[in-house]
Amino acid sequence: MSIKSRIALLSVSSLTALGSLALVAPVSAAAAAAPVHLVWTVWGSPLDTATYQLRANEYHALHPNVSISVINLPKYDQQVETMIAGGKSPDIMNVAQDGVGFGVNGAVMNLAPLIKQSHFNLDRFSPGYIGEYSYRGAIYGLPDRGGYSMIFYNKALFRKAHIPYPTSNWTWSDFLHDAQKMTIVQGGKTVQWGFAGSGWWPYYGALVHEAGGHFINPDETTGMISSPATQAGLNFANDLAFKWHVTPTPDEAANFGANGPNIARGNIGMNMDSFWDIKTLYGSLGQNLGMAPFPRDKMGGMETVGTGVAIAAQSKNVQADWQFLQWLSTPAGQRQIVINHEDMPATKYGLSLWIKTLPKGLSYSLLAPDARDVFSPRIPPTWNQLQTTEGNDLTPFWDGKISASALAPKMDQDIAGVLTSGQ
Amino acid sequence: MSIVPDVVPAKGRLRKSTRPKRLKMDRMRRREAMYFYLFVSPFFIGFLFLTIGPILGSLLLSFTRWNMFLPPQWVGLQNFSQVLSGNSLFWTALGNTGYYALISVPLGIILALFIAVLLNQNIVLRRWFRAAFYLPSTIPTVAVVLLWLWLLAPAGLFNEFIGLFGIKGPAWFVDPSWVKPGLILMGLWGAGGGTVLFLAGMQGIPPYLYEASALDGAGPIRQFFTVTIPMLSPIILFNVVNGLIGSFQVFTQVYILGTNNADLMMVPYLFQEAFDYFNMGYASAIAWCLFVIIIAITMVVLRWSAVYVYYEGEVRR
Repeated sequence: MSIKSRIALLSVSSLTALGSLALVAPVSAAAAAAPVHLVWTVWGSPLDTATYQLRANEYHALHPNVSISVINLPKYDQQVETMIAGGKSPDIMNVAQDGVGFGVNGAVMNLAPLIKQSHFNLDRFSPGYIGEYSYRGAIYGLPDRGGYSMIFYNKALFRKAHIPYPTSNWTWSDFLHDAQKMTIVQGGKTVQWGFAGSGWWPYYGALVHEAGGHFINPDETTGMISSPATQAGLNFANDLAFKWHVTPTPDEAANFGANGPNIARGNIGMNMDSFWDIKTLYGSLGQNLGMAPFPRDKMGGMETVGTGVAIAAQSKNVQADWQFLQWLSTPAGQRQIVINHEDMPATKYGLSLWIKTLPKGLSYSLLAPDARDVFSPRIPPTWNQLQTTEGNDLTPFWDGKISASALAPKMDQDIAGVLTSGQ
Repeated sequence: MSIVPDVVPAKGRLRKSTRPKRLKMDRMRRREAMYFYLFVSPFFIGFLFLTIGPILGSLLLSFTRWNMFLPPQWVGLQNFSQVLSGNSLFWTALGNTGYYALISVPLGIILALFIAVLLNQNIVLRRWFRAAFYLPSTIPTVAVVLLWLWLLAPAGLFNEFIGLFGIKGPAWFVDPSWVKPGLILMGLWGAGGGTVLFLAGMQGIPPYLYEASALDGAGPIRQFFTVTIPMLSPIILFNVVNGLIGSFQVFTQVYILGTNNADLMMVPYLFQEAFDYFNMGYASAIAWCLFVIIIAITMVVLRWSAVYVYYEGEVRR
């Protein structure tokens, strides 16, 4: 471990110890009562599960009467819904964009009253994250891990193409120029791609946002695909494949196999991803791995894909749940995310600690100025139906068979149908 | 009927050896019945509580609006009218599932029969070939899907192979219009399961039937259609019924590939409604509509089987 990382870890431990002292005293007296057992359902890799359990164990060490079991559910939605329907509801649930749907349908609690009652300061979270779990004044989850869509790039391929690395203000034109420089065609076949592309919504959602567009209107009653700004974002994403050929088309991407194209393969210059993949990508590229914000158009934009924690509506230990949720957002609660290199924490102080523990050669400096551009999309309760509808309607567009302007009327109508069905 | 014997022995006492057979039979039957119910009870209890119970539960839920988190609300036939209305994706999913079933089942049976005929010949390494053709049907579905995603990639092995014959292969699992054919192709790889049944059936066809037909001048092809097929018809019926039921319930392959309306099938559709959209009541209604459709198709097949299925020793009137 380098000296820089050792100092960073020492800082983490000292700060969290201080933070824990501040939080333990007022809580422990009240918590020294009857024993409580909480069940916390999570998803993710073995690293994720181990990190959650470490955090739970640390809380138990501070509050001996509260024990917490972490249960990883491989088929999360199906299994947690079955648990709740079968009367075995967990106490704490991980949530993502489905948090609003869970909340409106009565699976998780609205935390707004508890936040107000406890004077819980939401400013501790990095900008943009709380919106992912909010809907019309209700807050259904607290941000825990703060991933957002950003760009990983292969420094070696940039050097090989004799182009400067991305900057924090780089634009769509800069991005396209770099992607074109790194795309190599030999014998009519592309052997190196400038950008991996993606069919995942945080990718094209960010580009649409940067062009000034949206998928749904502010009232959440209809789609906004007909908006020129929205179409500009979608067209830029699609033109990377069909017009400028710097990104594989869906047919070409299918040839990469189940994992699809990404920079770990060594023949792709850039891809969209998020921070939970740092360990994997660094393992493949080492110090040739770089991080950059999304290139900017009219504005910057990086879409949140974080993980939050919520209190199940059927939990019988709401106060204990709330105490634990608050602790999870403290330096002590967030430190294992940093120590285990699991992900980026959602809190500002967690982020500052995480930056110091990044592997050698990897820097957050390009992303820091753009942190203000992190945003949550408009998330209605019918988010899942919306994603399915958008995916269906966009398929011929991503296949290059229909233009965005031709697609827009039907897609707006389909989105309106989904939004109004949930009201 | 009296249990008093007709013949009274000389000393007026019944000897055990003349105890009425009916008494013995009743006691034996009762004991047999007791053992029957005892041995079948584990299955029956499990079937009752783990199958019949949930089935009846889903029937009740189909008349409710239930999101699994709050108490269900009775809505009567509203779910069924919504399912069967033109705005629902039910008809899209049913059309896709029917397409898949009505093509994959006959093709699968024809392929299984063809392979069985080949494997019934006296060839070198026959046992190895039988194992090789059966093996794919034992591989877990998830592994099969991942393998075929690779094989049927636009530049995958399959397209490269047909490219040797000048045929440009489609983007099987990428182009929505080719996803269903890709699923059918993937399903045919498991034809070995039916082959084993046909092989067993062929072993049971009496040789004298072939001898008699040969004496009447029938060649191999005529023998196949007039002796082999009729003798295998019960197994064909079994494979048709099982194949139709299984194909209408196709799930894992479609779930892993990711649903688009072009390949939306019935069970992934109701799964999506239940667990993604929190509409468990509506999903239960879909499930019951699917059940009725499968029952109806099965009844039609069974009814029609009276025409083409021949059971040995059967006397047709």
